[in-house]
Amino acid sequence: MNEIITLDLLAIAIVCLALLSLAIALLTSRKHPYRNLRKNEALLDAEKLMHEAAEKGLRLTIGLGVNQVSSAPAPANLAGLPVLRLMSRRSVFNDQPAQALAGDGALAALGQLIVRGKYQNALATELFKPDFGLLAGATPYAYLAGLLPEVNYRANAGVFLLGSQRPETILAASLAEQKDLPLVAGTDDLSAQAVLLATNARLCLGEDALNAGAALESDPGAAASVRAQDWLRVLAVLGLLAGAVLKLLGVWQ
Amino acid sequence: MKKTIPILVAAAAALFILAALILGEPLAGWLEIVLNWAVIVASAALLVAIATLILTHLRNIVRGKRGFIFSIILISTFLVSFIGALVFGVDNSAYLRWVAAIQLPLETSLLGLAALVMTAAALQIFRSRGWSLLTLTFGISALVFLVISLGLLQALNIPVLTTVINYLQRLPMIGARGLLIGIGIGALLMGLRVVLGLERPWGE
Amino acid sequence: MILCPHCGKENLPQATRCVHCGEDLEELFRIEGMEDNSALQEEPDISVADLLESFRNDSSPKDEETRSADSTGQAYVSDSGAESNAEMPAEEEEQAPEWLARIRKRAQQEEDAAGELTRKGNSLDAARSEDHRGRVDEEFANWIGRIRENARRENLLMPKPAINSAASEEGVPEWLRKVRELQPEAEDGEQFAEEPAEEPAVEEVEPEEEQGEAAAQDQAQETESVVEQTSPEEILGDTEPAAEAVSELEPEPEAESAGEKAQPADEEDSDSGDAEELPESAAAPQFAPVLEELGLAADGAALELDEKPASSEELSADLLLLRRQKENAQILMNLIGEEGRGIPPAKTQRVSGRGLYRLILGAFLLLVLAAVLVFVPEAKPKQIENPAPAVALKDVLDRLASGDKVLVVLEYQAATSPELEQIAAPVLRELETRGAELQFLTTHPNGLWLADALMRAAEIPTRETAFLAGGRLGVLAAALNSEGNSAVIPAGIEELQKYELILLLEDSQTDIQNWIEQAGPWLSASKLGVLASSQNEALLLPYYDAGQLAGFAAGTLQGRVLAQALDQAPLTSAPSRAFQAGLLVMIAVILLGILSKAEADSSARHSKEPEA
Repeated sequence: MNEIITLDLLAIAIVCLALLSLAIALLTSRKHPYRNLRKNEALLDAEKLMHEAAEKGLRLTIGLGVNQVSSAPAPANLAGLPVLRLMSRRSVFNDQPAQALAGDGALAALGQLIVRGKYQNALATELFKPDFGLLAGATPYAYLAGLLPEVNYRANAGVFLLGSQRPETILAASLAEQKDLPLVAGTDDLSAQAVLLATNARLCLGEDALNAGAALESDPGAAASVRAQDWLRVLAVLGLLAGAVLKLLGVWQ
Repeated sequence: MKKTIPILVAAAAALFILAALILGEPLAGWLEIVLNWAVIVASAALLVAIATLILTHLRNIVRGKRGFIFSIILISTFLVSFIGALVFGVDNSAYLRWVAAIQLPLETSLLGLAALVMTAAALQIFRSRGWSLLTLTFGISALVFLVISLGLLQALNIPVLTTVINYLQRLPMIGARGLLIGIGIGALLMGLRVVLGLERPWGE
Repeated sequence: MILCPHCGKENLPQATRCVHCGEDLEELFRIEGMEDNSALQEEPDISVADLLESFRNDSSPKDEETRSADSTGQAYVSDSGAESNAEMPAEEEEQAPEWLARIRKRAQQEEDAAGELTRKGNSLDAARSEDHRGRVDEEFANWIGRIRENARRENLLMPKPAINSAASEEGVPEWLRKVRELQPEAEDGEQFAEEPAEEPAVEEVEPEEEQGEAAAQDQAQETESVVEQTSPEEILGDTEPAAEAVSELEPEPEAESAGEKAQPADEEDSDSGDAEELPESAAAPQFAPVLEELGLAADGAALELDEKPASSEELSADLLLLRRQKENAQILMNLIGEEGRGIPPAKTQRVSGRGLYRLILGAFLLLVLAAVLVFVPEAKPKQIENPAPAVALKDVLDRLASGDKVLVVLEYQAATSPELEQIAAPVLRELETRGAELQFLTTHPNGLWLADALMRAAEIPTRETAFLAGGRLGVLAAALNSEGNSAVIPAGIEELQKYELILLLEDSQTDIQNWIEQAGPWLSASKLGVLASSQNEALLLPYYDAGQLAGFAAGTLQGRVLAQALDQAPLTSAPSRAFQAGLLVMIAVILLGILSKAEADSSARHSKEPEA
């Protein structure tokens, strides 16, 4: 019980620290939220890809990843939504609008909401089709089976795989590589990251996949979150070092 | 107002669950209700997504869009599975075997393909990404752990070698821990942004 | 155009000599500011005359040489110049002002200066003989006429105010009337916008485009087939003479307002200029050098002299311009109609030969595996040291007594079921042997039929598998279910704290983290054990090291080790040799990749060195 209470207090402390970091980051970078921000090269390439797709009149396909059946999306599952938001906004009047595919019902609903919202904002609701945000499959392999034909679509300009992807997604990555399609991938799954490294995907490693909004400069909150993450990471490193030193000294066992 | 209500609902739900998890007993009953609601809503979202998928494929069939044959196959198999579960019940062993007999070969084939693709990707990794610290460490670590996974070195039962192998097997933990901490921090801050209304995953 | 005072015929404004009669157009030649002629009186006349005479004496041999070298026209020029000067009546000399006399004198004396123009004019006269005079006159007249006609067309193309259209009947503008005359069937549908055109060509494009759009909307069906079938080049290549005339016309307004015309019109005009060069007349070469010298180089597109303008062409110019507008408008309408529909994408070219190495590699791998499976006998498992996490899990399993409840959670996909069954089957058999009370739970729909297969593989009696909905929310609800009455928890599943061991069968990082992070804080560390696929070993190590897991076994190798430790026989279908063969192939492929890259870099370096 004491252990649980200690853990709870520690959790509360970490959450408070995170809140404080986020608040400070928001306040200090209010005017220039994206200045001197560490950006991921893969997501910068994603923005270039969006422009190229618009110029060439081709389509971008984004796979939002998988999730447990009938479960609420985790933060890692939401990693692809900022990219989808930006992609949809830029492709409203394109020849080929962006195509979003999800491996979870809630993700598919969110994806469709986002796309519909962009069309509403552009006052072009008549151009919206529910096909733009689809459920590719309810299970991970069903999602993969639904993703592969969309990656194989002949008018693709590029493929995004952002969210919680499994290692089997290498099939989609390999197919994109065969078709000479640029691929931007980011996942929280360690095995999938290792597997995607073997492809020619532009990879977002670790928490970079969760910071798409900051990299694409579409969300000041995400930018503040990146700064707060960096501060918390420094604190975590200091804490680990302190714990190791204390354990070495025999103070902490 | 239309945009404020979802933010308020999300923030209230998140704060309530946090409070219930911390306080425990006083809010346990309410927490259970909220969790029930969340499960129902998530399941309903899945049903809606499946319905959208079915309608999309029906539209493809009606319009004769390219690849509509696959849409016919999808809808027919969905209907057969759905009706079969309704008629026989999901506890029926024959029904379960029948579904497993279709799903198992399909998924196993995909995984086998993934293995072949990984093999081909291993050949190309240095050509596509060039010589860099990342690719070099990846290649070296892959070789080391593939050799360890063979089990031949462990079978030699040399104490020093076994010690080295045990040490090497614990090395991935370092990188994994770092990645997990980073992902955890990122997820924590994203969750806080959702609670505070800074992040609205549900759209505009 | 200026009129010659002698013959009364028209001449170009820049001409100083009449091309018809050869007379000087002197009275039309004005030099401004020559009233102030004090600057010219720099030297006394005597000295000037002497100077000029001396020049004349010096230059006379040169003149003779030049005369012999030049054409007869030039000789005629000097002679005619002298003659013309001689013919000048004395009366005019007396009446001419002093400055004019001086200029004439200078013109006589200095041939190269003022005489150049006259020489050219005289050369024209010399070139003309009696035989050619009539034809030249006629062609020149035609040429003048065409210039006049072009100017008139320009005036026609300029938008005229509706008030000024004298021919309007019943308030209908003349251009509309002309359109309706030529296209009576479209009369009912046409609704051209009537806008006053009092502004210059800057606004010409806009009202024309609006008119064209309005017309196109009404005549969409009629012109659609024309637009679809014709390209701008085809339109321009139309054999109608009116189209050619219009194409001749278009560069003229374009020349005047080149920067203001629409780009498609410009492109079409350039195409028309290239496509429709009409042959020049036979006499044009004679005029061409003259015109060029006079600065009146004939623009091939602007001065097509072969076709005589006629009144019908005036009408067709307006109509074709409108038709072009209609066509443009129809194209615009089609584009708007296609908006959002998506253009059928062009087929991308498939690069051949790219996938060949994949095919070879895959075939090689399959061949090796098949050969090992068929020909290599299964090796007897050797005793190897257990990994620490597997040892820890074994210890937990050893502590279980008969009647202890064990919750087996299935969270893997069908694809990884063979691997998980290899790992889990011996463990389940051991638990069944010990008399533990096994309950099966799954959070995936797949788990319902995979549990059945697992139980058969483990050779244990089949039990009902409960389904826990909600994923991580369901796990959290199950962990918080202290009273055992939660609606989320399926029937038969008790509180998690009541289980001695919760054995997770996992193939996904997300599912592992869900249980450890959602349920772990409410469970003691000794209650969670994991049997996972090999890819999750790296993830499980930190959690085991942190004490959040009782133990784990990841991969078939650790599964075999665990089975040996439990004195259970691994599954007979476990092909360890084939697995090892696959690993060896992977090792070989990675080494091959490194070597091929090194070889490619080396050859690239060697190829660069000779160039350096």
